[in-house]
Amino acid sequence: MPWSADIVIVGSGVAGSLAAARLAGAGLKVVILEAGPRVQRASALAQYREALIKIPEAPYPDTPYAPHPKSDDPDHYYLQDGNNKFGSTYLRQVGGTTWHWLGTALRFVPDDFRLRSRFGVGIDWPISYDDLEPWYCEAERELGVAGDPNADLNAPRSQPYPLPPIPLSYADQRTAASLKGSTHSVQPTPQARNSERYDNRPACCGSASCIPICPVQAKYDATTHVARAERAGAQVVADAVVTSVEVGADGRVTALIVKRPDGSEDRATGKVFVIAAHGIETPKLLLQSRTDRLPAGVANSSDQVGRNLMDHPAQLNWALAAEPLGVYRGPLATAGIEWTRAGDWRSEHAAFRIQLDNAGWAWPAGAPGTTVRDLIGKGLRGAELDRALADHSSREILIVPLVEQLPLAANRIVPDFDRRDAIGVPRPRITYAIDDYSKRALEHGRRIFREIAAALKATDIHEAPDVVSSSHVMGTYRMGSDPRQSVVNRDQQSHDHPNLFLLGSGVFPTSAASNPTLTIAALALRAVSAIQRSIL
Amino acid sequence: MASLTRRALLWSAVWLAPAAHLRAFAPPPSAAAPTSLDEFLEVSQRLLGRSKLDRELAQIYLDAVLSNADDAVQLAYLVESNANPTPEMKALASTIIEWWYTGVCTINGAPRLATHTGALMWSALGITAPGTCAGPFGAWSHPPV
Repeated sequence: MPWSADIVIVGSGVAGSLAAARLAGAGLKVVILEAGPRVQRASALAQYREALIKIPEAPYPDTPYAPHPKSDDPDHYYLQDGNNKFGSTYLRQVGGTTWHWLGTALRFVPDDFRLRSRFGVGIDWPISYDDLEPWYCEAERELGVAGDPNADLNAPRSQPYPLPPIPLSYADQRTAASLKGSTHSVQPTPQARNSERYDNRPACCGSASCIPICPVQAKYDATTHVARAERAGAQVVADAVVTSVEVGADGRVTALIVKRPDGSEDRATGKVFVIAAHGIETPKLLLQSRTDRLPAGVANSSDQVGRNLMDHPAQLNWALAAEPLGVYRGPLATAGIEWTRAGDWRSEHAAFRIQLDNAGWAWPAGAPGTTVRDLIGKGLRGAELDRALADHSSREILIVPLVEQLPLAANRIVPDFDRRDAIGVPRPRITYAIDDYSKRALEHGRRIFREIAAALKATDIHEAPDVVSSSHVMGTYRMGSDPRQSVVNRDQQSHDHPNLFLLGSGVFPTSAASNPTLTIAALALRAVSAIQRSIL
Repeated sequence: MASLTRRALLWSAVWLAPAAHLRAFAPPPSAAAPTSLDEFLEVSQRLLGRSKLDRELAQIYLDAVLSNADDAVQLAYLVESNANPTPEMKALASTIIEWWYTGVCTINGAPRLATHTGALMWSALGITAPGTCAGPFGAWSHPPV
């Protein structure tokens, strides 16, 4: 069945669905093509409970026609070439990766938008913090961000948070108290997690499973805006894998080629096309749409599509605090150390933030199951085992520095035309490495971990030698003023094709040190009026 | 009542088991039949120091033990008594405790999730299993009990 609309959007994650809800609400005919299936929360929860290994993807289908990467196997979908394995994952299903995001809703800081002019590294954004600030406010209202107005986050605000703050976990309170007088002040994290009923979703019930799934949708996910777009008249087509973008002789996009799970093909035509399929699938789609007339692919006259792949390389550091902290309760993180996101040293090393995790040693060490095994091995039984397990688990701290990465042309994703998925679509081939600018910041993060561990009089100190991914995929179709160096302009409109817009963290020229989702949302909302204006 | 055939089967298992698994060459337990669910529950209660255990879970763990001939023999010894246990009996006892706590057992060398919410480790920690609502908003900000 061919589709036709004013606006055809590829991808139903936070960027695509926010834009769809606004555009459909403005009376435009909108079709969203989503590669993956619709997912019901109840069945996802059941699949999560039944999963042996509870990785972020555990609750969700991995379909043959829309495969996704998996956290426990970096070679499951990606083909990897680089010095470092790229471990970031994402979901392909209605609602996208917000199903298993943590919910952290930090804004970037003003210097993040002017890294080149302030520090001589990276590249400047074509917009400033001030340009985006009103859209951050909009995004916070759309997602429902709970925040503490007194938190010092180096990001000036013109409007209050829409929701009162999520209380700090007891562990975070104790960590903050232990660090009092040091430079490492603990700041409450703004979170798209309800602290009271908001947007017809309940307050957080402390399920401690934000990743991989919130059982009650207290944590925002994009199914909210998918539903809103549908109520406004948008058509959402699941199981519709866009495999190619067709461009006419005049440089305007004319159609999308869509493959269905049964192998059949369809076309989607429209006036304006929006690709919001995240940092791997979007550039892959553009590059695999190469033709004789566009041998480098669609929207790629700059040769920047697929390049500058960035993540927030992270490091796991864990220890045993001297006192019970009651971890394993509540949201998976409620606070962090944020002053390290901004500073004059950014000419020397990357900005970073430190997430104070709230789920014990589950991520780095497979606790509490592994703790059970250790204690049983020591001969503990019955009430003695219960007491020891509770005591140990309560004192488990995990400190995770996440660092900025610079855009590097060699870090890239390309379609591998020789290695295809089950329906014949090229798989992503990735070349990725972490440079010294980021590694120096990881060292600083580790130093601060040691200071925190000392403040908590912690023992049993562990520092994982390897870097882990944050699943923050950024940079692969960056925005900029210069069409020779960037893929889209400040409105996220392709420099090459006036009726093509690209949304998502792929447009980030630099990665900053903050979790990307709120900035994705703010940019998507900001792009809506330009998308509307581009309709001829 | 175990049938003669079952007794014979277990006898075979004993004879097939490596000598190290025999309890100091002592004669096998007189109740040398595949352990019943009630017997396994009794052993589990004794090992865990808990009186109320889920019968359906017990059946899964029992089946997992019985899927291994050596373990089946050791379980029969544990049913009789866990006084003066051999290293093999101790190992199986630890395994059974671990399964109840983690909700993950092993069948034919492969781990299998028996339960997520029913794993005893969550109640030992004083929390509900992740993915289930824990209680009132903000409870995580209070000191642990």
